[in-house]
Amino acid sequence: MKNKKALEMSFAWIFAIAVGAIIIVLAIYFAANLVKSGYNEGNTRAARELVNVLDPLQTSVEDGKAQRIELIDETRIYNYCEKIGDFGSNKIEVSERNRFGGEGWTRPGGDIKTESQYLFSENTIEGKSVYFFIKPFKSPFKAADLMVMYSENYCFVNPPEDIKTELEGLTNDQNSNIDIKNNLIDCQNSSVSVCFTSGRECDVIVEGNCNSLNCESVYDSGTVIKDDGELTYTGGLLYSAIFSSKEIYECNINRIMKRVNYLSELYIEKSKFVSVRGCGTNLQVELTILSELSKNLEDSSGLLSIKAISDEINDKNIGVCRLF
Amino acid sequence: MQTFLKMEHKKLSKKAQLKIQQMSFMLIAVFILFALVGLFYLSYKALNLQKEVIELRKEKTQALVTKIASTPELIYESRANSIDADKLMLLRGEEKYKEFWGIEGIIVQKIYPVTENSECRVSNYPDCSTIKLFTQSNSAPISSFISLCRKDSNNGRIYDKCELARIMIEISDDVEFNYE
Repeated sequence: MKNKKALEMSFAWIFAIAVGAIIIVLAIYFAANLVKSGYNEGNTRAARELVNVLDPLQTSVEDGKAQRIELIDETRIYNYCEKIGDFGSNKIEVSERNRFGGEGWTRPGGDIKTESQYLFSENTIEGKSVYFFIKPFKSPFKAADLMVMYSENYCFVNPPEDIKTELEGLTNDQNSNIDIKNNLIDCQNSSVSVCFTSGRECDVIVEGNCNSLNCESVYDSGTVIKDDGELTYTGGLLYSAIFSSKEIYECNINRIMKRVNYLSELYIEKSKFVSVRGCGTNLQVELTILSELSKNLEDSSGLLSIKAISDEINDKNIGVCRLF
Repeated sequence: MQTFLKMEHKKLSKKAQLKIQQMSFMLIAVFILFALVGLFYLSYKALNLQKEVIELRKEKTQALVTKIASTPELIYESRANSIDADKLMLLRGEEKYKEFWGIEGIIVQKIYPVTENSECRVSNYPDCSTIKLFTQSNSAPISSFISLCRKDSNNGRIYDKCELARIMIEISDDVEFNYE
């Protein structure tokens, strides 16, 4: 009767189990937090390194550059663009594939802000290799380096001769992920197709509209038609429009125009400065118009009027007293 | 008999209390040990992080001089490694470029031909030797040699005058650098 077969435990045991459980829970909590902060640190460092790598890629007097960057792990890069401030900024966040969680991605690390770089890309790109395509933007003086970032394969279908030559000159199998094909059916199914004639079943359609005397090709300016809308481009902005989302493209155009505005003002001041030394330039009126147009630009559709005044300035900027 | 039982119960209770105390001390000791290991690990990580920050900033600064020298605001007529002295003079006081370039200041010092050592102002330009942007320092740790160019005239004939100069970049020094 007395044996009730109950498990008898002393208080010491109960106390040890309770405190032990608390210690294990705390240990698991701190370990999980440590892993999380480790990922955060790694992702922030990767974003900083990526932005650092971009600095030497900027062009000096070259016409363009292409570069491939190989990442250690499968990585997702988030590109944000902000217009706020004197020059606006691009913000980069990086997230690596979760090595323990199968298909998932780790939480992005801290964002790295860059004011002096103009990064054109889709809002999010992912892959183990990231490709860069750098072209200077001239309006008519060099105002910025357009840094196009992509990871997907792009297939240019029957591009005009000058674009084909430029792409072939800038890129090769190692530093680009661009194919040039004569027909759309020759492109890989997974690639983003870029066509230069409307009416085709392409992901991106480029329509040229440059007909003035200053145009070397009809594609010197025009429109890029994509799923997320139409983007107007001039000159080197063609590639930026093809490879980036409308949101990033329009924001970066706004940032570049802020810089064109400041540079125009600088050249107006310079023209006054050198005229004292007998170097008259006669460009002040046109530069003032360019400054006003770039300051008030609302979206990329205004680029055509900026191109027109830029061409005018370029034609006048000749001789020993040229400004740029 | 009752007194004996009471005494025995008291003895057992004291023994149990002692055991609980022993266990508590042991658990506290284990806890302190874990906390110490954790602290040691965190300080080690913090030290490593500081080293990495220095490395990353070093990487950035190495490319900075080349970048600044070829920036559209300073380059002279799209010539590689040439800086426009007139533009430099006009950019003095344009503080917005400090954050844009991520620098604290720029010092450009003419080296050849040798001229009287004086800071350039509107009143003495171009007969001066040093142009300073956003700083009053006379030197900075990161430097490179460049051509400092401007338009000049000789008997009414305009020409490009370029002189050998040294560009020095001052950066924020919240992290100490060791240059080897």
